Amino acid sequence: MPSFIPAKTLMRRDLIRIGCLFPFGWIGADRAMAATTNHVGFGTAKSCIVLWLDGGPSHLEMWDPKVDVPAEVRGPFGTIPTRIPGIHFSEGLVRCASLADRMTIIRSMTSPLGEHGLANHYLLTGHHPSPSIVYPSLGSLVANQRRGNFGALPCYVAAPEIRTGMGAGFLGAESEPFLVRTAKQGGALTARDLDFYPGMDASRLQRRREMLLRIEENHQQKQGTHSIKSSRFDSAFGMLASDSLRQAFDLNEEPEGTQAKYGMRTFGQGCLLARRLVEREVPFVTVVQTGWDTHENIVLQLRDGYAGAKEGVGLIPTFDQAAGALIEDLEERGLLDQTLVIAMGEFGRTPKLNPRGGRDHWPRVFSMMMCGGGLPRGLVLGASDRVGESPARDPVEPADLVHTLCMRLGIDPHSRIMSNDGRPVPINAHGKSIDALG
Amino acid sequence: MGIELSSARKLSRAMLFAVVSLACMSVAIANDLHDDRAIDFDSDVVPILTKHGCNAGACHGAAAGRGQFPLSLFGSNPDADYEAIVHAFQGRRIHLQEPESSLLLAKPSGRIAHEGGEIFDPSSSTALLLHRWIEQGASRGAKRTLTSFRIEWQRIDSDRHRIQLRALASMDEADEAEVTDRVRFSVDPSDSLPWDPDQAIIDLDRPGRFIVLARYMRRVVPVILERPWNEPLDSAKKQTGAGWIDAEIDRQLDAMGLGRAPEVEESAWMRRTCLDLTGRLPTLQQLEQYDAIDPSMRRQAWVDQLLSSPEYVEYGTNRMARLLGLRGLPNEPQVVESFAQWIRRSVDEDRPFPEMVRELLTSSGDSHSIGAANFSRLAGDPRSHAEVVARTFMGVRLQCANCHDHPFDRWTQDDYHGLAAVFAGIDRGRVVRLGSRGEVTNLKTMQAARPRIPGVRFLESADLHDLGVDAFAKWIVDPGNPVLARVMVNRVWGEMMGRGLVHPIDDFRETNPASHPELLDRLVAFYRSEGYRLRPLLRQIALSRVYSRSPVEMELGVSEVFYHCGIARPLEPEVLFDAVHDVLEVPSIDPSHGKEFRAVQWIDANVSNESLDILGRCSRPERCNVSAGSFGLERQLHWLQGELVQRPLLSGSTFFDRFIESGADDRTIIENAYRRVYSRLPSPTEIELWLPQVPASANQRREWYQDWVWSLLSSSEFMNR
Repeated sequence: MPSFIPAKTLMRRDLIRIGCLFPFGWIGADRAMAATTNHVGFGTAKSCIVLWLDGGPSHLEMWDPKVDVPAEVRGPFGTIPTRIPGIHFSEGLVRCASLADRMTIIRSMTSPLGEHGLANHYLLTGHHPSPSIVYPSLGSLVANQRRGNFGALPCYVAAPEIRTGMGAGFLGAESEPFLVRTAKQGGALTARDLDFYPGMDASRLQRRREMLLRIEENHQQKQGTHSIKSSRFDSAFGMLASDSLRQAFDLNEEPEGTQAKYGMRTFGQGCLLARRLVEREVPFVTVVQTGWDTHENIVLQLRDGYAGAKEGVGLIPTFDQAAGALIEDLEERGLLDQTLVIAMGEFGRTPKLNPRGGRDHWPRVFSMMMCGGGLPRGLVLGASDRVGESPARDPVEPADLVHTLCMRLGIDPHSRIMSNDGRPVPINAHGKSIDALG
Repeated sequence: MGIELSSARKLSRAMLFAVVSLACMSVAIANDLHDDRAIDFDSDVVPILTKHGCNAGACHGAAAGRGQFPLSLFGSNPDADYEAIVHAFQGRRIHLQEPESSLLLAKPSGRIAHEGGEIFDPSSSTALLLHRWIEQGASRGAKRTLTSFRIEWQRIDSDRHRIQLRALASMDEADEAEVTDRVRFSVDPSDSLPWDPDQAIIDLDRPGRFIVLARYMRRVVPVILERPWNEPLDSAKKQTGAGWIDAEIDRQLDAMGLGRAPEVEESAWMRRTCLDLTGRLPTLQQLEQYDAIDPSMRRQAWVDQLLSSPEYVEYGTNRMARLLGLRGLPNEPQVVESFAQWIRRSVDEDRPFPEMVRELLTSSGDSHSIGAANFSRLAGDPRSHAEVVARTFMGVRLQCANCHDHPFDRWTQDDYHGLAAVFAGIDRGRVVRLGSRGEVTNLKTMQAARPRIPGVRFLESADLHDLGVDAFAKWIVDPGNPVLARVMVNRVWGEMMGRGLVHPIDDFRETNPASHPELLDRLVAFYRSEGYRLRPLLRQIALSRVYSRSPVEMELGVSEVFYHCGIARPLEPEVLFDAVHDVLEVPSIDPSHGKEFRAVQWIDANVSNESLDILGRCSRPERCNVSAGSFGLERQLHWLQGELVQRPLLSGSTFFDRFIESGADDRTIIENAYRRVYSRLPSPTEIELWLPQVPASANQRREWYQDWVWSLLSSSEFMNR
């Protein structure tokens, strides 16, 4: 849908600032950029881990439960106190509750988009989807910026699947996420094709690399194009030249106790992989947990996992265990202050339970959790109203969230990058900074 | 609840008001606000709300409204809007005695806190209009119909980059009046061009083609603005057109001051047509035969040969199957068999497309023997069926209109649910039956939806004497209805050229006009004159100059919409898969039954193959990943180390292995490899580059060739067409 811009903002909008052309298509900005980069919170996070709860996790069954409300709003679960005085989480988030004093919880997220594809895109790129341009995700922006100064490992990894909004859009193939899948349904997470094919070795790979480069150079000369000294296989060659690469993706290197701490399901193992990658300075990892689109029977899907379960193995216990283990692990290894951990989905769910014991889409207010990266600790930002229907104060739009994340990750949200039709596109056009988050 | 202004502020406000109203007067002279005419709700107030975005989906136009105040999306329902503004909320939104205290005026002008912010200045023409309307009694006025709405534009500076837009509308066939200040102009994305919405002036700050949308009442009109490049190019690059396709393309290029890229080499053209029409690389024999044909008729003869080959049918079946959503059902292999057979026969006989569509929509019976009935069967349910039909045969993305009237286009919920109702009475078991009882609920009215042809009419009982499906089919295949032909022509053009005249190819809407409307019309006329058959259309495009243009990057920022150069298209995953095996002369073996197979023959979308999936195989049209052709890290690794290429390449039984065994010299092998991979001979430079590198020792020589052929197969010249 056409995004609404107040007329006044348009009139004040500056014309395009002309600066020098940085590598990877960045257009330099002016004094405004200096003001941004000198900001205290700028660039405090070297890495970011997004725990993407796909489908729209219910805010009332997670970070923003309500107590003194009718039963159909309250839902089937109770609440537990957390390490933040006066703040409760839903009863399933046991580990997270004990780590709440490290977290920032936003309870007043708000968005106009209630359809999965559109909402995904908005949360992950900070832009409303548009029919004429595909915006890059935050992960791709980071990959694009860091690529030059990076080593063999990919800058942007996603496991175990890629959802709408996570792609590179007009930034192109080099900024797409590297996907680590499960070998088969529910199987182990493995990065494929990292080992030499029988008969191949490092020197042969190197020879292939050089041969291909010559071929592409000749081809480009014939075409008369601006020759770029790389082939489309550059990332792969770079990665395979390093030994630490294979180790990074091998979860069996971790002691069994550690694997069990995260939980043996795909999501838990994905979080463990994220920690390993961040340890090796990979800037952006997304771990996807699907199934949060709970239009029916939230007791089964969110808590139990299967009918008649004695100990819940549904979405919430799985999430709680993995996220808790991840945060603790990062803290123990001294990585938490420079690693942003974000747990969010594309919207919340209806405050009133529906006739099937579930909740439907509700983007008007929802919650999310953030941790690390220099963010304030033990902060609850904003609130929803009494029944969890609308923001009561401090509404935060996804554009604002992405604005803040860009700042933390050292990307100036006001700067522009060149889209594939030759037009400078602002990284974050309409978000405003959230003062409480610094 | 209002804010009391201090007298000092009142004075400065008064002065400001005076200054601004003088300015407004100069604007007002251009429109009819300066006389005492009655402000009309439908044609003045509602459009003003649309213009400022009040009734957009992000604000009060959302399904649940905002702040307890709902408006219809983009003013599509003025009746409901009038109720909401004047009568709802105990009439507090309007204050007839003190208009400036009306919430309708006070909130958006900043007098009272408004979650949406200050939308317009209290002294702006918008505020004036709303004030005047309330003063006059906030009445509805007689309902009139918008009978015409158009946009004029003119350049207002000698550099020709600033454009002034004017909107003219007439109600009930009366004289046109200017309505510029009540029109919502927008560009997508919203910040892509500098412009002043209050003055309706737009700055074309860079060359190109831009679409401005003008929205007034319930009409949306696209305005196409172009700024030429005037690129000084080598005049040798300008070619004389060959035929009407090129004439239309060249006309646009000339108007934009753009040169053309040179044509590709003959061998590249030959390779491209072979891949586009048959999904294969030319064989070595075909290469030799091609050279032997008389150059003056070479291209026509080649295209005719391709179009009459069995490979054309095989590839065409694959693509048609993907378009029609063919996929297997558990334990029912006959579904794929019968549907595939029907498709294959239709492609082979080059059946007129409307005939095929009518059969697909109206066939019933045992899906194991009546191939066309599987289209309905596989559609799943009435709403999916409606969405598939709309996308495939009308070129329209109807799904947004499920929950509310479509935000970009004219489709309403009645259209969406009405089309679903057409497909409601269908039994989708093994025996497909039409005409059963069935209905869908229209989510707007919560009643049974009335069957409807979207955008056209509801189906009356006279139509339903036949089945709703028959009536719809009759409408869509009617020779006077251009929709189906346009969609198919655009699709074929887009797949051959790399970009549809309407782009994306399944997104025909009022607000997305074709880049070359006259060309589209002529292609449709041609298609119709050839009986809606595919082969003549493919032939016409393949033999055009524009199709054979080289994908040379001429200048950054020149959009491919003008076809001034070719658009490099990556090979589709199935074609790439087969091409690798063809080049190496090592067939691929299907592990499940140990027999040879070609990926192009795998038309069941539900059967997966790891390599094909990694390459981004597009199993369902609506699930197609836009970046299927781009080579992310996962694909690179698989190409470099995975089974797909390594298994045949290192097998020891490739073509170059045989050459080595037979004692052939390096030059022969190199030339042969180039012809297989690129359909051409290596240049002297290329030979000089490679020959010295080949090792002498037998083992190293073999390995060298393995690595070298890998790099040929990984090059852009191979992977694109």
